[in-house]
Amino acid sequence: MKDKAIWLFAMATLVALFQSSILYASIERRASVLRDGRDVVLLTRPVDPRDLMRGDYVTLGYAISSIKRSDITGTPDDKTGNADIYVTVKAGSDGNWQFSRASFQPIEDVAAEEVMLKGRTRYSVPTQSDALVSVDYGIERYYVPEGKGGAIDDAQRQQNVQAVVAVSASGEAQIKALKENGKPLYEEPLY
Amino acid sequence: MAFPIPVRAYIARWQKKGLIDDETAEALLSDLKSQGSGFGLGNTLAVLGAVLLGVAIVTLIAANWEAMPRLLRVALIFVVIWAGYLGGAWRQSLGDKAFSQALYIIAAIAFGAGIALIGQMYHLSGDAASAALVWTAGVMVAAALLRSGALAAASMAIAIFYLFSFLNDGFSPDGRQYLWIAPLLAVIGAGLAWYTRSRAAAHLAALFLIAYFLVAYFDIDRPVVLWLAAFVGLALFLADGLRPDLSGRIGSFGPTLAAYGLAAGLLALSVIQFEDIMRETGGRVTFGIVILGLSIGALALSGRGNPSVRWIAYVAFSLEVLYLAFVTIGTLIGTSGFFLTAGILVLLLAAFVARMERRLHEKNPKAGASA
Repeated sequence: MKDKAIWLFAMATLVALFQSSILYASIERRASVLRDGRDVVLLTRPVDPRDLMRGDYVTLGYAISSIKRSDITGTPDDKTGNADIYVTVKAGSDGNWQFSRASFQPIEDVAAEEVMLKGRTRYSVPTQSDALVSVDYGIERYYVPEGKGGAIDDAQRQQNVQAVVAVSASGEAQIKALKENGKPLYEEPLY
Repeated sequence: MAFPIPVRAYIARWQKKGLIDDETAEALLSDLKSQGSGFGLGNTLAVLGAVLLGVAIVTLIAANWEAMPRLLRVALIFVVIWAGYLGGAWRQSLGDKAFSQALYIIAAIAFGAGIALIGQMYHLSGDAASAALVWTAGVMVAAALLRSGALAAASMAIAIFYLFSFLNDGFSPDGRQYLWIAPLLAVIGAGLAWYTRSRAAAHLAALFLIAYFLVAYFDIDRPVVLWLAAFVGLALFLADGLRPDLSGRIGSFGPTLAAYGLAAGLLALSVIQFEDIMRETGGRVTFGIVILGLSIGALALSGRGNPSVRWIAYVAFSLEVLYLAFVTIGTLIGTSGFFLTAGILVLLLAAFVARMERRLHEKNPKAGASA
């Protein structure tokens, strides 16, 4: 009987450990990008919000969220409907980083002044060369305290919200801060 | 066991009246105990209370968004998870069936809330479907390790939530990977239901499969999905009806599976019939006859020993008769004429059901003894 109880507690500990580590892993993965990644500043563009499972957030769009098909090199691997895509950006004269080049395969020769982001096409890749390809980078959402989303939306509409984005060596991106006209709106602590 | 609670009362009464001796009564009661999961009203209330409490904790944490620092919110989630599983194990080691399961459920809800809240707090993007999938998998692992029926049932309920998250995201955000993920979840769910001896989990796994076929049909929009559902469903039903020796091997799950199979088969056929009408290919009478024939056949084959099959067949038969009457003669007669016909038809159906019930019940003792 006592052995059984010990076994039960061991299993319960295992389950709790398993589930907490899933949660912890997702926190740590983001923290490592913020800690070790390179920062780029992207100007945001307005899109439209809301989601069932989570609270209030603003949806952020970027210039690199839609890329002309003819600007992308390589062949897309989109058997499941979406393709991985690699996009590099370069610092512009106004402090905002701009699109430099894009490929469906990882870019090997990233220049020192370039930063590569890894994204995923939102739909299957169109074949017409003048079509626009929609790309998600995992930095399209920023959750804000309830009711505060409207202010960022308005500022976005006037084209002056910038996102500071940390990018890891493999191209994974996380939002580090939001700025309005260079003034910080929100800044993200590591944990 | 269709009604485990009254049976105990009956045994007690028979024992009192001297119809059965004490030894038989004991044997009957211990057999009942070994059969059912013993998930009575008390346990159900405990789990329901746990669900409410779990949701309360989560909304409390979520609502105090600005009052609490982020790390504290994460820590609270972790505390609820650990306290739930360890507390549940503690209650279970003391032999407490109700509250151990209730605590496990609270922990499982906290885990799901943790996925959503951490995604929100740390601005992790990602769709609701993959979050629900991680949640399902985590709770399935917990159900297996702790051998908990309540967790097995919860994991299948979350799996159903996973399927319906597609409706919100628009279909196939993950490149239709759910087409193979969902059957896998159903198989694991059925395995867990068997392993934890949870009837609730088995019911939910069956409902999950039916929901899967419907979602898949509306997503890929090909009749082959429906035919497959009809075939699988009827095969399950026939397997139980024709080879009770085989289905008896999986214990009391066989007849239930048969009932769900019949329900899935009839549901698929009626959607086929509906599609047929939309395209106006004129097969409505053919499908009508097939559905009516199946209902009667199901009654004849398994209606006697399987109350669920009986009621599914009655419902399908009645709806089909009313429907056929409506589309064939409903257009020829006026409104009052329609109500007159409908009234007569419903009365006839009632007489039919009453008659069948009597006939099937007359033979019931024999069937009950041989089953």
